[in-house]
Amino acid sequence: MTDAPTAFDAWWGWPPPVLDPAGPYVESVTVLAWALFGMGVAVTAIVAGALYLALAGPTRWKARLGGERLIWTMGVAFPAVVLAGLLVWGLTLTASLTDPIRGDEQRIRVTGHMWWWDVEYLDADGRVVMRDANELHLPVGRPVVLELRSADVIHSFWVPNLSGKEDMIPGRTNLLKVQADRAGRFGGVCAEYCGGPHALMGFVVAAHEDETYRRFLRGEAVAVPGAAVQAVPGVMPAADRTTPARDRATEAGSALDGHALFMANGCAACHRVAGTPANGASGPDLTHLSRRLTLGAGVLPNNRGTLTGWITDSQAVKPGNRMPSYDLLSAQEVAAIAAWLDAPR
Amino acid sequence: MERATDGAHPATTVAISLALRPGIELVGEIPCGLGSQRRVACVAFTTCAVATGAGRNAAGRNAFMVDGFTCAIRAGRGGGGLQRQARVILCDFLARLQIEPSGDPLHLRVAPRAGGKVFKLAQGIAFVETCKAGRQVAVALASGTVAGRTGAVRTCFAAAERDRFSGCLEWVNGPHGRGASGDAEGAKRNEERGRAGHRSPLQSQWWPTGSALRRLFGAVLLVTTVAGCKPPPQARHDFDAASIARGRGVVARAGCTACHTFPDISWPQGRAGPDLTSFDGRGQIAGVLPNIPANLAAFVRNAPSTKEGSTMPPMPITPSEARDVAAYLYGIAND
Repeated sequence: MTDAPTAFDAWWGWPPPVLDPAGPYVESVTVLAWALFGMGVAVTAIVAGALYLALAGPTRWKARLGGERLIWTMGVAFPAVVLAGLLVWGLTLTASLTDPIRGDEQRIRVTGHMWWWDVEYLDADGRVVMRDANELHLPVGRPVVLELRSADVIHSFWVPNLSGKEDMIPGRTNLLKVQADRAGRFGGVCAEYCGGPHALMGFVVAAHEDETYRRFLRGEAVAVPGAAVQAVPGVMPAADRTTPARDRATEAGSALDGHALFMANGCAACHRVAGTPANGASGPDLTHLSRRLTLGAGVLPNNRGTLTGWITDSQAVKPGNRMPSYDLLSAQEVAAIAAWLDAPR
Repeated sequence: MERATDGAHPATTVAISLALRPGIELVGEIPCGLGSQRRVACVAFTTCAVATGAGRNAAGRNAFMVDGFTCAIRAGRGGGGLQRQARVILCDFLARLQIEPSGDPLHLRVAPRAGGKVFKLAQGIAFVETCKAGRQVAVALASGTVAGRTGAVRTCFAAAERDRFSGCLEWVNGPHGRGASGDAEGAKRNEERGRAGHRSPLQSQWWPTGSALRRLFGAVLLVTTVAGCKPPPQARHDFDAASIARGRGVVARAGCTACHTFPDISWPQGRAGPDLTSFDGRGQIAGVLPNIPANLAAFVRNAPSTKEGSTMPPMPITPSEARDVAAYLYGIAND
């Protein structure tokens, strides 16, 4: 067997591929990156050739090239011209990255927390229309402005397919324009070390066609293009992917009330679930948990099994994260809570 | 089928379909990717043959065995021949099959699988009961085997709880068991069965009276029970590498690691569920089910339906993925 697959590999590819542009703001960067790489190769080859000539070349060549003229041409003029040209070309190429923000773009506020992402979709007036976490849904073909903030330490927002890195700095709002030109799923990461489980602070970006995106904003469950596993219970249209029939006896027979347990065990202190008294803000919003692709900020696929495992012992999955392991609850209690959270709302 | 060979009769070969009559329908499972297909198929056919023999030759002492994948059934010399065969072959047979009653009360469909072979058993021979987990398959199989071998016992496995199959078959009408005709519980069961559209093809039960038979029965029961507790490792380890690799991918993709620790997956290593590092070394799945591939495949996909009260949630994987996962789990064995 090859390298151990993690949920990352299997779920949405890890690490997210760089130099695989899916939008205009990263396309030019990719072109520039390849051009610089090519230049670097060429310069290395020239230097290696010169070194070879100097060490082992014929005397006639050494005599010809040994003068001061070569230093002026190849040592000063050549780099000056080439680098200046590259600079101009690079700036022209990437000019679109600093296009002024028109103001009519969809705005999404992404706040970095240790070690998850709070995502708020804003309307034209800057009001929050929906709060979600750990995944970012974008409309295809339209620029989106992200308001990047941090609640604690410096994080860095990076979706290699869509943009360069942009730091999230406490007390400051950085704006980043992204645009996805094709529907699909893209992995994102925190690119600035932010403590403990920094390496497990990921998220998923899903780009939808307009209509789907509108339905998403209305709170409906939508299929994510390119998803290898549409495994979220309740969001499973494909016949082949159906969840095994749940056992009604186990499901309903459980007399435990997930809602009550959620409230009674303090979950509501950190988590918000719209429409209930749960209004905590220090953990991810769980209102739309049932349609999320991942759990624990991109570390696990989201299904009833992983949800159960996460609640029971999240510290085993993401050591150091701020949610305690609830292994004091019985398996039945965890199952009831998971079932309640898992219900679409 | 080669017919009786009490020395005097030369063996003849008959196609299997000719030897069978309408009645109970068995669809032998030939699971893709689990174990040697050839071997599993043979095992399934063997039991069909046993059941058939029991029906057709109730008075005789014919034993049957399977001759390869072509499904020819050979009647061996009666008696001990089958006993040995049965011990070896049958200990994990039925548990490889998923059982669902078909609509017709007289038919029982076992493990409908694409590419499976359809057999029809003589009416009134084997009526398979799926029941709450807790008994070894081997016991039930041994009973059936003995029945077939001696021709003296007719067995009845009833399909009462149609969705509960997990390889744990219970012998309802055993000589020491409940439900031998007249018993209140058995009557109730039969009644339920009738309501559910099942009619026991056996209207009367009768059991061997000879003490020799009883002793023989007891011995076979004991041996097969013990043998059935843990099939020999080679019976469970011949999974193809592709299936194992696929299974490993499924495990990662479905997030099994959120609760379980696997030896060759470094992260995550969940602790909410049992550590599966040396899964294969265990006698039973979840402490209840016989540790065999079909049970495991059913369990990893839909645990609550396979083992009542299991707190492992159903997982969003297909049945074929579940078989791959089972193959992977057996493949990581360290014994």
